[in-house]
Amino acid sequence: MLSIQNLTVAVDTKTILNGLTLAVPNGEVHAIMGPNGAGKSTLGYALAGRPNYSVTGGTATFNGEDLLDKGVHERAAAGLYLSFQYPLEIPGVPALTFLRTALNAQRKLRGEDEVSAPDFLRRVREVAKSLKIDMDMLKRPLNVGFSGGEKKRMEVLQMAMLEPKFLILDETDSGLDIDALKVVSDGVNALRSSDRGMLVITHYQRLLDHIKPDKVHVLVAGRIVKSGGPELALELEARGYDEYLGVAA
Amino acid sequence: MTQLMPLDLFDQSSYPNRRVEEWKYSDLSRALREIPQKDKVINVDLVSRFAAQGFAVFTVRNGNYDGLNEALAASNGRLWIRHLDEGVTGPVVGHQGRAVLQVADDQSLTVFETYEGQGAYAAHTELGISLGQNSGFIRIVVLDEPLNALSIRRSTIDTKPGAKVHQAVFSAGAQFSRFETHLNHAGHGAEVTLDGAYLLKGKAHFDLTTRVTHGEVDGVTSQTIRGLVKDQATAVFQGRILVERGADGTDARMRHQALILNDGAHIRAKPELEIYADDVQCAHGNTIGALDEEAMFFCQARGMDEATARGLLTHAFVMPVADAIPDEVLKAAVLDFLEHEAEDYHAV
Amino acid sequence: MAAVKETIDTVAKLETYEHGFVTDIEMEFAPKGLNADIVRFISAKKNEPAWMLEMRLAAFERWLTMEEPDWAKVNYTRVNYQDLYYYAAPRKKAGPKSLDEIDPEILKTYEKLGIPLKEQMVLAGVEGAPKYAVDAVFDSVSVITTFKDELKKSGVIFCSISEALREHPDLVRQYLGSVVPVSDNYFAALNAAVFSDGSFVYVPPGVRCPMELSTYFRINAENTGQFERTLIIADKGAYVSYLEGCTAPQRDENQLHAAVVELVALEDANIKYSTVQNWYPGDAEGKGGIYNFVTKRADCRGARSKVSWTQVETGSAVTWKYPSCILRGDDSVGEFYSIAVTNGAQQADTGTKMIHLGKNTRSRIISKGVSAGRSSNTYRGLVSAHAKATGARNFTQCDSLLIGKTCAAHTVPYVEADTAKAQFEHEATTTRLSEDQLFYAMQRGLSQEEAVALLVNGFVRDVLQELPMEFAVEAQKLVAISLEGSVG
Repeated sequence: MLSIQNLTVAVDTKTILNGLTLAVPNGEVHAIMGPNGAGKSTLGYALAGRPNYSVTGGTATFNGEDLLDKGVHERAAAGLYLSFQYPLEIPGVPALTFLRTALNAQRKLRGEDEVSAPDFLRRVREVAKSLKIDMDMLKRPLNVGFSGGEKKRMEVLQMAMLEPKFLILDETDSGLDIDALKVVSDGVNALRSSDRGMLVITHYQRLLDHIKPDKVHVLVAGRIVKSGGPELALELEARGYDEYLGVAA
Repeated sequence: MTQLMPLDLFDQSSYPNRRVEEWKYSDLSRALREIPQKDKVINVDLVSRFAAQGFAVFTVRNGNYDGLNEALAASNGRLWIRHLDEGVTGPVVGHQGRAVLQVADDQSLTVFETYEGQGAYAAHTELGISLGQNSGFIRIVVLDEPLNALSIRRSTIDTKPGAKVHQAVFSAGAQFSRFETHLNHAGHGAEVTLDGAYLLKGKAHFDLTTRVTHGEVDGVTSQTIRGLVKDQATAVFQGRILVERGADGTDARMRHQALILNDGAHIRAKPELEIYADDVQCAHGNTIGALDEEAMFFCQARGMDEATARGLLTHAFVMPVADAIPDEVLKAAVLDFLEHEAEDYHAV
Repeated sequence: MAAVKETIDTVAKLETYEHGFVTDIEMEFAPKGLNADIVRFISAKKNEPAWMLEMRLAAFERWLTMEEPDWAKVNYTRVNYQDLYYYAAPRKKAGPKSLDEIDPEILKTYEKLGIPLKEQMVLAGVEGAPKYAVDAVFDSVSVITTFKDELKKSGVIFCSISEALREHPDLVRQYLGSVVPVSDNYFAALNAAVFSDGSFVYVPPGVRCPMELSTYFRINAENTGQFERTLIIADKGAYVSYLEGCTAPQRDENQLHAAVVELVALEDANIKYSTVQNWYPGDAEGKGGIYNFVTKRADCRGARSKVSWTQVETGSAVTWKYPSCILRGDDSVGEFYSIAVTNGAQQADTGTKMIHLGKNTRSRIISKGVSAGRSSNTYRGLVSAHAKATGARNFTQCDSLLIGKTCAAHTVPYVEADTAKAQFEHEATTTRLSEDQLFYAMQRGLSQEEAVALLVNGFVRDVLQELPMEFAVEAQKLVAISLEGSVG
């Protein structure tokens, strides 16, 4: 269970999240929707521990463990995976190298054995196939020269390989055409399980047609102003965020 | 204030030699073996070949800047500083002079600076330009001096936060010609463009030297230099961008591209980055080559003869620098100059 | 990737300069200081032919009239040339015939450094593992050259330069000083006067050298300058790959290393020269460390010859080094691949010269500079094309990476073109280690140090790929170790 209590986050002294409270039980998929500038991406970054995103109040725990006093890589090893809205390009580091280095670093931190090269390759091949990723692409430097859709598929490939316990998907649908969206959502849906929670951050309802949430939360001006079932997303799609902007002010 | 290395045409001991790194490719001691004659009275009536409508005109005759600031005050922000230097046959005549220009906070000044002359002379002028906060400064320079003249034109530009500078230098070279700009970048939103283009022929020597010092945060510098050399001409481009410790957020880019149109012409390029701050984006590029054979073929396939195609492409090569001039009157004046110069490139 | 994993382990394990130990052996020194008698002493010690002594004395005379260069972006306390030993050698009888005759302390040193001197040890290794013939130079003297007999079968001569002067004087005389003349520069003149040893390689026409050749240089003695001289000749159609590694003990005073390397490639010959330079860099405050003032030059004398320099520079307090190619033969090719990493108070001014003289000559320069700490890292490179070098082409890519607020990175290219039919292209960038990339890698589970190592290795990858496999792994480790503690 991801449990966030009264979280306040500032970026360069500007408060973005302002007393956000949220709980996502294991096995559930929650969506966070909200207008531009509401603090959606900030929530993902703050939970992952991005520098310059300073938590000025509140708590965040995962399965009872305090997340906020851990380093970025320790949160990752604890099972938190942030799928970036704009995945970074890493020149000179082949995607396979990056992935295997990350996987083994996490396993080492958890006191597990490293994955052998043949096992690793076998798994990567399977996952890559399901995501329609060519193995040759994995030999190229990570994300360098990849299209928007390819980058998002690489994010899903990494999450499938790293097997995190909790996923935060930050605007995963942005920059995807309808075919790519389907491939990516199928990949994410394949990871749904009773012991894995997900937080889907999105501006549009479209993604939620593919990744069906158990709950939907509306984030405006740094806090959750309304929570409901999947129908809330359809409502937002039809009526926009206008009625909530007053609530937050 | 930015300081220039002391140089006095009439004191040979002040001449730099090739061992001085900054003058490695332009050996003044060799170009000026004898001290020029001072105060020689000459009375040739020189007429400028340029035109700039709507500009107040101030003539600097033989390095004499007296009255420049009065002319600036009366100019309504558009000033043509017309340098005319004269020489005679026999011993070389020397002209030397310096002046300071100031642009107040929030003010704008557009300067058209031309250098023309007649006969063999040695000229050394220094212009100190001081720009206020959020000021705008456009400086378009055309160097069109006689091929037997020696000319050293040096300038310093001191900026303040928010200043916008666009300088473009166009040169046809001279026996020995050097144009220096030392710019002190105040950052904090100040933006600087230091462009240049040269078209050199015969035995012309032209040295374009720029020094930009970023001492403060968030400064932007962009440099585009395009050049052509033919015959036995020599082009030198020395560009240095220095980013001092703490000048984070600096964005500086420099690009020098040149064509050598025949064997025996020379290009010496030294584009330098000197960086002491880490949060910066700096890049330089330098390409030297021959005229694009494919483009030549394409033009000829469309019916141009070789000379026409060559003239067209060489002219086109330096065009981006003229195109970027943010003043229509001066752009037209420069285009005229380039068209005239490029004609010589039809046949190589 | 195994290499990355190894890098990380090594980083975790090591805290200081790994090779900083001193070996305690009996040494023989010439008196301190430099004069014509010292030059004569060195020459006599080595039983050199008379012409060699003459060349040395001429170089010494020339050196006396020269001035130490000061144009590089490096600041250092000038060397007191009269306060150095110019000859230091492990005390021994004649030249060692086998490993048994070598001081066991020296053998231990090389063992500690992980350098295989025992052929049987190498041979007993994994089947199919590449073989390396090694010339080990300890202070001023070559102590052993391995695999000589096997090389001899293919006609390759690989020995110390002293031995070559005795055994193959005509070959040495023909080529020594023909690429780097004694008057070339201050340090080259000094080297010509006092060089004590180094490696000599001759690969006969049409022969592909059957194994990698390598030399390990080790400075051990105190107050000793090291002046080795390397000469490699690849005759027509020959191929050789040569590796060079260097280490030195940790000492508080600066030590001078002024080597000269000359490469000659005749028609269709191909020389690949790789260096992993890990001299002691001094401590974080800039105390101690090696002054690495080296002249390396290749003469692509024959048509279609090719020389490729690859260097990984992580050590030395001050580096002044420009491995160059004179592209004299038509269609000859010169390459320079460089990684220069500086940290602490290190200063490096390094790059290359590509001198295009022949027709259709090509050169390629890839330089990756990484600066951290309070260090200064300068790329300085010249590309020139003579009027007759029609069709000459150069491509230069020069990238600098800055880690931290107190380091400096400079790029000083010189381009000189005198022909219409040349194409020169130079691109340079300077950026800092991206915090966003660091965060991204850390979000996927890498610690900060692991993330830095991964990103930096990615930054230098284009050059690492040019190194022979074994060296690439070593180099990757070195890069990571050199940058330890540079972030955070």
